[in-house]
Amino acid sequence: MESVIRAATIYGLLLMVFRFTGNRSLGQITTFDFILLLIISEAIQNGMVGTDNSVTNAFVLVLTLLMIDIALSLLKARVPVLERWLEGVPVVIVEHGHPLLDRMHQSRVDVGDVLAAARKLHGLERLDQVKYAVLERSGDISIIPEPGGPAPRSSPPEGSSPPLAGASPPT
Amino acid sequence: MGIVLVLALAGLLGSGPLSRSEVSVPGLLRLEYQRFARYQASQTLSAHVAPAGAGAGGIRLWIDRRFLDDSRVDTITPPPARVEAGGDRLVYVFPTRRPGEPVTIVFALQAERIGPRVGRVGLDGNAGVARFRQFVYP
Repeated sequence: MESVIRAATIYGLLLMVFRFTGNRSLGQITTFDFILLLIISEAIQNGMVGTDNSVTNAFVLVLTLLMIDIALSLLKARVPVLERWLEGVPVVIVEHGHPLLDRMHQSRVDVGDVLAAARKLHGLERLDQVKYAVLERSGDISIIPEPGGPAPRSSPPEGSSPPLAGASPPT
Repeated sequence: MGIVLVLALAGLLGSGPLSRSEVSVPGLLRLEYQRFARYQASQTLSAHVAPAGAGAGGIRLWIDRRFLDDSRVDTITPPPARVEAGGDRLVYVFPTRRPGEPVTIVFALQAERIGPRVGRVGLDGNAGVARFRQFVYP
């Protein structure tokens, strides 16, 4: 009985912590984030397993965690509000080359992250080549490029600026 | 799988309401034990001894040697004044301060063998035996 309660508590706590610390925590993972995850798992393990190292305990813990996960995913499919609450919604953070700073600040994403995603996904150089940048539920940033190149008003003259000049947000 | 989880919550795979059980020697001793335990995990064995169960030298509670051989006793609360070895049993002697009051003795144990086992507990000098069965999961 304790094993099930422990696993369920840990699941709930972790869900809350990772929901409130934002999408970025697990999205674009750095080496340090990875180490942090390992440390978190070590810390959690002690609380969950306690002094009971039996095979049965391990089985019950795994079963509990998986069953809660399955139950929640089934529930999320039926109750959209729950899905929004548990996983958040995709957030538009750049619109037609303009960074939406308050949203970016809230999600702890900066222009550099958007540009990195733009470079990686579409080989774009400047922010004004981005039609929309969306911070997805998974924590990834997806980029929709401006069709036919950047809007003319914000396009810098050819060769006048280094490739990443668009990193500073337009005023 | 969901059913297994519900059964685990109920205590079929360790502690829980389904696992809690008791056996008694009428008027003398009531023993609370776990029907289902796990290998090398803590479990408790609580002996409630009625006033009639205490003799002049205090309470002399014995536990079957075979059961103890398959267990590791972590703590006994209250600690016994001494332990005497009998042939097939160990006798724990607890001094009582007020002879007229019931006493609860709690053994914190860990099972050291997997599978079904039988335990016997009684009061020395009395024929009554509280016999219980326990299954130890791996």
